[in-house]
Amino acid sequence: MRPGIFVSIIGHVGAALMTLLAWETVSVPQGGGTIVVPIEIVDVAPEVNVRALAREVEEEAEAPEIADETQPEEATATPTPRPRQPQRPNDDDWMRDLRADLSDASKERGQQQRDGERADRDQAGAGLGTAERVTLEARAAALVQAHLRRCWRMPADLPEPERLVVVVQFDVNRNGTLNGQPRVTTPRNYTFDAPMRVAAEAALRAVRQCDPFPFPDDPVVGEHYEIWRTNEYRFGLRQQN
Amino acid sequence: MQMIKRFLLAVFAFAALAGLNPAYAQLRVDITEGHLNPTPVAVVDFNSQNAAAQQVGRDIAGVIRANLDRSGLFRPVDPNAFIERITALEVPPRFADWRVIDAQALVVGEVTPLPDGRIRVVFRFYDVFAEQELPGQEYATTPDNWRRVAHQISDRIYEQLTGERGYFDTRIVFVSESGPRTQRVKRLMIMDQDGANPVFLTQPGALVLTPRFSPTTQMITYMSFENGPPRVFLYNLATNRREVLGDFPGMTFAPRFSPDGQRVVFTLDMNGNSEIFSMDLRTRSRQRLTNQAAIDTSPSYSPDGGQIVFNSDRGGSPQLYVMNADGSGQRRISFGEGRYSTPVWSPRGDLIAFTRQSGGRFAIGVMRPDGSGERILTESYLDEAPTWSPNGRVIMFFREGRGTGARLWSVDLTGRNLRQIPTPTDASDPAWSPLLP
Repeated sequence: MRPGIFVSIIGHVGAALMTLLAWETVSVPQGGGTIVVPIEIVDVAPEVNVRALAREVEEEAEAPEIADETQPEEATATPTPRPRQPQRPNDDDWMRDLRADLSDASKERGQQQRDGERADRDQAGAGLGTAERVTLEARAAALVQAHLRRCWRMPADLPEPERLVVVVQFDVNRNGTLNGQPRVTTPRNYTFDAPMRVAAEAALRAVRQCDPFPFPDDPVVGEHYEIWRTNEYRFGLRQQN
Repeated sequence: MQMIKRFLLAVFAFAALAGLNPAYAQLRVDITEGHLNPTPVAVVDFNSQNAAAQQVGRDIAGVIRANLDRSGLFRPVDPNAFIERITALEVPPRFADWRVIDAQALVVGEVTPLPDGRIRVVFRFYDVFAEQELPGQEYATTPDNWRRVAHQISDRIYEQLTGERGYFDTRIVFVSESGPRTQRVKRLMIMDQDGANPVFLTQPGALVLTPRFSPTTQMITYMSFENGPPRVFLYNLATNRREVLGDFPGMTFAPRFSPDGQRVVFTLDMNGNSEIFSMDLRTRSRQRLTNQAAIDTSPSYSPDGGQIVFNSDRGGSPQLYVMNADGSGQRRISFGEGRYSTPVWSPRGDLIAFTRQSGGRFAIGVMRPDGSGERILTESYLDEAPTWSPNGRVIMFFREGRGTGARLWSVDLTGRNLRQIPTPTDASDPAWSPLLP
């Protein structure tokens, strides 16, 4: 009888934990596009965060800030108070314990192979949950989209412009300057494709011309170097029907 | 117990690596909006040790700047803004000085007189932001031929920056018009695409119309009233020889070369019924392509020579039709409001330019060969007779105002870069040459 109850309790607790884990895992955005981020999370997250941040600032800073109330509510361009470590609304004790356990588990299994830089990076992102991450990425994306608009000459007047999609990768330093040279990852070879060559050069030129990038000066994403350290931009005209 | 604990920890560790731990990822962004502003290019006056050659160097740079500016794709940076003074081609430029003035490309060059009286022109070309040298070129020519060198350098720059063939080293043949309206003198004239070096090709006596360039050779076909009834003529620019295309029973007009230059397609009017014929220029054998009671005219080949677009009023009003080069498979492609005429197939093959008359106004537009995607590029009291640049990006046409003479204009495919081409007289019916050999 007693062993049966013991097994049953472990089973139920395990199932509950798994459910929670599954929820968390599904919610994490994956860059490859294989997992679809639910729309609700994307929409709700900014509001949650902005309020949390605003409250925190009000509590912390006594100085009268003409922050949120007086400014129009713009999702991207409006400067908002500089966030400290954002408070996770869902971050209850239970999850913290779980994370501690997991950390221990990882250590036990000897799978932590971090060098100094990686550790720094992980710690910086350790406070980020799905909602924050999506928000920050969306904000960083909006920032850079606006920033590149003046630097990228679109290939709209080349033959078959919708075909000319170029993916460029590059790294950015903490101060927003280019780290190394941008490189075209897609298409792999465009030596003999003149319009594609021009499109690729235009994308590279855009990245070089838009150096430095505006991330560090942004009050929200500025501190989250891990979000905008490595960049992959897909330059292509919006598909028209 | 130990097993269960280990199992759970393993599951947690896996889940943590997969999801909970904030994965270090790239910021992936779709960039779909940019600008279409002209690219700033700095063209430095070409250097020389010799005073006379120095003037040529300045002139060459001036023509290059004007060409790039007229294309609408580039904006020459004002030389007064230049910081670095380029004195030697061997020394790489200080790219930072050119970035500051927002030049994305830099063109420098040198003119050197040669012992045989010719000049040597060298140009170098840099991508300022990538700090890379792009392929330059070296030319040797007679000093009075400096304009063509400037045009060829412009074409090289255009090709490097747009990925398409240039069109600056080309010429325009057109009908020069002068004299009072009742006694209009119409002569064939030819000039560089920028309006320089205009020369008359025919005498004032005979009325000429619809000159057309061969796409492959420096040959022109046109219609003239030289010997009475209108006939189609061939004019070889290399030899200055003219000949009548053929002796036909009726009036021949609207001639145009096939893409290989070996055939001419034209309209033959017999007792008020116009039909389209093609003629092999070597064998002089002709082939009838249309057979309708309606007026069929203004034929123009597709660049692969497989199809012909033409104008017919068989549906009640002039509309555009496409047929195979042997006359089969005729089908209507224009269905918009108004009357469509003077169709011309783009050298790129993707578009057909036309004149559309509706509501008392004339417009120049383009549509795909299947009739879809119709776009009007310009419209005025009278815009007519489009002709394509050899790279299929620019259209030249003539515009006539109410009570004012006709003048040549060009517009690019965006419809935004509309410019007048300088001509010494009133001008109509332009035809763009292929790139000069």
